[in-house]
Amino acid sequence: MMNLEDFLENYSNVGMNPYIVLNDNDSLPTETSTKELQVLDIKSPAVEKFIKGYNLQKNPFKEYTGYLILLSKNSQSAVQTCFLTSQSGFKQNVKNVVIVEDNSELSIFTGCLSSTHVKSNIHNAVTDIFVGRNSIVTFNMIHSWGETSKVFPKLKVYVDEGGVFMSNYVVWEKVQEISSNPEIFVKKGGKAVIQSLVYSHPGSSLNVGGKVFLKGGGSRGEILSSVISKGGNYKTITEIIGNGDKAKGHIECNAVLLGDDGKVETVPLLKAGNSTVQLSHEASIGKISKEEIQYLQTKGLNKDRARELIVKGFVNDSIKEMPSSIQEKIEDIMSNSQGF
Amino acid sequence: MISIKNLTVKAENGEILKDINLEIKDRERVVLFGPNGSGKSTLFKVIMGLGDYHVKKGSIKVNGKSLKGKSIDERVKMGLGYIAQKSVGIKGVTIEDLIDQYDFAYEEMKNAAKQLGIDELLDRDINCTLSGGEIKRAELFTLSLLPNIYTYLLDELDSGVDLENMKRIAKYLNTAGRDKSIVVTTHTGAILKELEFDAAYVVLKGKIICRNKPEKIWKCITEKGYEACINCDNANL
Repeated sequence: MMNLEDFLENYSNVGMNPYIVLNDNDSLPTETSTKELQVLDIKSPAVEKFIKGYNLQKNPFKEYTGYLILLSKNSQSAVQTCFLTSQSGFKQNVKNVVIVEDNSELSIFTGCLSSTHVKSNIHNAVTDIFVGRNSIVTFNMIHSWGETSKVFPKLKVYVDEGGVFMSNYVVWEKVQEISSNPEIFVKKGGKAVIQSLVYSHPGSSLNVGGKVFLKGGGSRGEILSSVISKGGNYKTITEIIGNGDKAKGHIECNAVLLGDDGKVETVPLLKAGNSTVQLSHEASIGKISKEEIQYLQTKGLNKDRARELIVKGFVNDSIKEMPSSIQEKIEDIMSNSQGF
Repeated sequence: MISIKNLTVKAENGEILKDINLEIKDRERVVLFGPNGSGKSTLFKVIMGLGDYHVKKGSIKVNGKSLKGKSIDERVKMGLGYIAQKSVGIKGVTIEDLIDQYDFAYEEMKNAAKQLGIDELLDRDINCTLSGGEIKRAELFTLSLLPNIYTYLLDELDSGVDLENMKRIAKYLNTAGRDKSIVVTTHTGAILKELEFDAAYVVLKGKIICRNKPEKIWKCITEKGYEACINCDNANL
């Protein structure tokens, strides 16, 4: 795991402003309030008027931290957030609300981490995101929790007409347990994409999937899961429910098995509510193909170098539609790692 | 020089190459004719150490050194360059990524890229979404990055390649490949119009049954078919 300073330094390089750091269950250290953008502590009294009329998930927490991000219509912004846990055994509870009004564009870049000495922390999160008409929201997450961390985010996203929501979810460092299954509701002409890249380490239990409800006519949804399994249990349960006329959905899962002990399970579920809906899924799970290794050997690479290049290729292919900041980050991690 | 003596090779379903004797001299250009499934491709694979074949008898030597026990990449380092009939595609790995793996002479690389016209292919995934001709050009280019390759084993070089690409490839082999031994397999014979060869062999049912001038053999094959080669008077082994 990266140390705290390096992590913050790295993520500062993404260069987004504002940059919110939420430690344990503490309040937001600084709030932002401009004409276009509000970033407020979730417990701030001012939050009430902004969230009025929005259908939020129930807040199950007594003690919690979190933010409200509100981007006004016809605006553009990028916000960087970071959740930290600094005490062993600590249960961090997070309640977030993101509202992006019509015709706007917001990128959220989130990193999560615990300090090096922290053991057995739990991160619970309840997040609601509202994507306005013809708005675009990109939600990018790179985990860097500790090896004994448990992470349970509950995300619901509502995409209004013509809106686009993209979730890019990367888990590379070892974590004990993750359960992340966002639910996304898409209205007419809207689009939702859930992309994840997960490195499953021995001893990990990872459940990374999601559900997309294509409610409106012409709505589209994609769930693309990629996993590199060195061990542990990885499961992806994904579902697309197409009810809107001519709704289109696709589920894809690709897993490459590097170790002998990793378990990978993929459960795609497609439900069509009418005959104009078009849904598909494809999946592949397997070791690196011998033919690919031998091909690269004919290019003079030895087996180990060949394997490494193929896994890198798998990663590159998995993240090719993700923002360049994530691609660069992954490239950094890969170039600093000693093989796979 | 490649020297193959009494080579008999077994695959799952029995003997697939039988008592092959073949010598490829330095800078020699050889074409192997044979119908699909005759053993031409297998011979190349066995030379390269690809696939699951068991050498039952005989030897393959490169410049006097046996290939026995050598890995594929070690064989490449001994000077063997190979292009498969159907090259494997690898998603997410570009030709540029492959270039990054080598230390090579920059000028030579630039020349090969220019001659083979692969500038626009550099950021494409290896052998994915490329046409037949583009794949062969890209494969020849990546071979050019390897130092000390002096034998090209080019399996079905002319299959799936249009005339324009074929001319370009032939031109490249006639310049950049002029100091190399070149062994090409073909079942269509199209390559004969573009490249000159010193000798030709016919491979049939796992055996080499004929050696002669390329034009002579090809004429015989086109007129009488491969089966006629078995009892051909022109055989010069």
